[in-house]
Amino acid sequence: MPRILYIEDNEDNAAMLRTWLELENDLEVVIATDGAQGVASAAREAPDLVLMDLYLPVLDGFEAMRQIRAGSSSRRIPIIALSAHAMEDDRAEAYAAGCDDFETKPVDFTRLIAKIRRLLAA
Amino acid sequence: MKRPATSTATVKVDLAYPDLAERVRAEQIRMVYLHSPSTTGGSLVAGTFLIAVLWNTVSHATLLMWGGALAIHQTFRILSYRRYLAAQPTVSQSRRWGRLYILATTIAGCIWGSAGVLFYVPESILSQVYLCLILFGVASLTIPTISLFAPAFYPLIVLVLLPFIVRSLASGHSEQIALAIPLIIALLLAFTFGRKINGLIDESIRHGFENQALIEIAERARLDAEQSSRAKSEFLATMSHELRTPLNAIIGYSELMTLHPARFATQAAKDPLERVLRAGRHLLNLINELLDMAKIEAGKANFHYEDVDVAALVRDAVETTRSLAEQTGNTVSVHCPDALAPLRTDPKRLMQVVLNLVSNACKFTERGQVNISIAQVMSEGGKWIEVAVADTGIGMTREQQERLFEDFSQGDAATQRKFGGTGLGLAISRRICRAMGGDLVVVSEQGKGSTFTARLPERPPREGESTESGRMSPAPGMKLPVPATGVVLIIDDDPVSRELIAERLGRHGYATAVARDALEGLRRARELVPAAITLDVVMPGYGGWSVLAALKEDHELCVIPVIVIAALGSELNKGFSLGAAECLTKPVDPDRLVHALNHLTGRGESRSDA
Repeated sequence: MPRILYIEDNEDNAAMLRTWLELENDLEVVIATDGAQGVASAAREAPDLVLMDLYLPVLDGFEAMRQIRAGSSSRRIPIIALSAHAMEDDRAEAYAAGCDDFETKPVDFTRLIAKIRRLLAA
Repeated sequence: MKRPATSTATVKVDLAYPDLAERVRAEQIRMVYLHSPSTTGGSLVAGTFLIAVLWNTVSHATLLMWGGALAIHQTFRILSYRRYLAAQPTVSQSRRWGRLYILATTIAGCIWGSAGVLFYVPESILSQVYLCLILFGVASLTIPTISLFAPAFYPLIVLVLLPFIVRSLASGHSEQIALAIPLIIALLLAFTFGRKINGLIDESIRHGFENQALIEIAERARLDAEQSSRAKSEFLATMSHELRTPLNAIIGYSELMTLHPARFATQAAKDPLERVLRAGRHLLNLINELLDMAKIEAGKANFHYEDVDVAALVRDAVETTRSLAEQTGNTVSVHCPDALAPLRTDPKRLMQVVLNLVSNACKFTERGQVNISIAQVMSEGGKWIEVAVADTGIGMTREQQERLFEDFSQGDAATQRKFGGTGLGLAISRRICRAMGGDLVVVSEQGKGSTFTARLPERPPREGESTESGRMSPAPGMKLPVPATGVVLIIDDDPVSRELIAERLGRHGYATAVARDALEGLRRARELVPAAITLDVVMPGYGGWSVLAALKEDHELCVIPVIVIAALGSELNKGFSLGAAECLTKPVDPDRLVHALNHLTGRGESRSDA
């Protein structure tokens, strides 16, 4: 069963996404609540995909992505970056930090799930 | 220290410096101390010369004692000068140094004054003449150097000259009295010139301080403005996050529960939940648009320019609005020239504008046609791309057209209920076009339809470049009725500006009339029905903006193009949204003003008949 690591500090957002993804019946969701834990978790548990909120405590999403990309075991994991901010620059910076796709919040879950499926299949 | 009557223009700023007088005095003391070397030098030279010429007339002992006293005194003065330099006193400490200086000059005055009596040898006229000359010289020397500091100067002058004057006048002999005369004149001249110089220096020092204060005020204002701007940006960023976060839950969960009713046992709640979902999405759109507008207004919207295939973009937009067109029974067609060069623009923003125009056209037209035409246009020394969206819909009245680009105005409540929408679309679209160096205008007739034309320059404005040259006003193809007179009315409270503008316009062949304030401006506008009005909005009392509003509300006067002259760049949008034909900032470039007037009154255009 594919495992998705969702790095998100907001509890409500985490709960909602877990509900959505688990409705798919074949996706497992693991949550990390800050950037540093997220990087550690990515290295240790080798998830099949990472959903990265960009604004996190301890270590922000951009830096966390860079570290995941730098890690030998985590380098290849597909990452979708999620941003609540209206600023356009987030998108460019997220791609520069190494994400494979980008979604703004509030998340269009149908679209997000489609993207997850696509990245998992690749 | 009084300001002399010779002072020129005063600085208008009231700077409440309680210690300005103190600071001025301290500055004068400093200047006068810095002159010490030259006064000391001059004094010693004069003294030596005096001793030399009187060597044979006066007893050597007297001369040498006097000379000694002078030399000791001048040494003391040089020492105190050096101590002053070392001490670098503050304003409050300068008082003490000032008193020291006055003491020094008083002693110097006594020494020189005593020479006038001690060396008074009436038997030798030549010696008297030398003495008189030297005293005259010493007095003159003090004018450029010591008159800076009045409390030292006047006593000194009197002490140096008066003893000799009194001595000669008291002698009763005409040749001796005659020698008093040049010194009396010297005394008078010293007082006159001394006062003048003192006044000028005082003035100049005060101006120096006032300039310093003004610079400090300007610097503080700049920092305040920067901080305010930063605060606004941070606020925007925070609001964006804060406003959208609760919507995550509202939209997310209501969508979940409507898509998976079985799972959440919400079969019965399907309709109410769908309403919640719709309301949530609507709120999100509203927030996004508000924030978008705020960003564009604040100049914080980032435009990412690329080479864009406009025809392809328009076709994409049509595809996106296909279902809306089908819903309203409209046929949408696109016309485009074959070889259309790519336009350097922000594709996301252009798409935003085109989608807005096309969806509006579909919303306000039923079972009609929506034609989108793309054209390349040459105008005003540049290439432009125009995207015109023409519909055969309900059209608009004059009043509706005027309010069209205002925020939140919509055709009618029924359309809003039917189609949703926030009422901000056109306001944002126009702001986007203008921010990219172009404009968005409309031509419409009630019952017949409307045509919205977005015009963009081939090259977007560079960072900091003005975006005003792209403004279109009036809309092409829409002619203004020919006005009653060919006069340009200048409304400005500042007589200098009025004169300048009137003069420059006169040179270009315009007849001008002037008004001094808002009320007079409105009155004259009604009298003259001018061809155009220039309006300075920085006016006291009734205020420039209310003049503009009043003009636009008056049925007769609303067609007169108004050129608003504002103080700040941030007011330009306000001017346009209130109906100005053109907005310029101070200081006004006269050529641009003339150019704008030519354009607005139809002069210099080949199809004009103004």
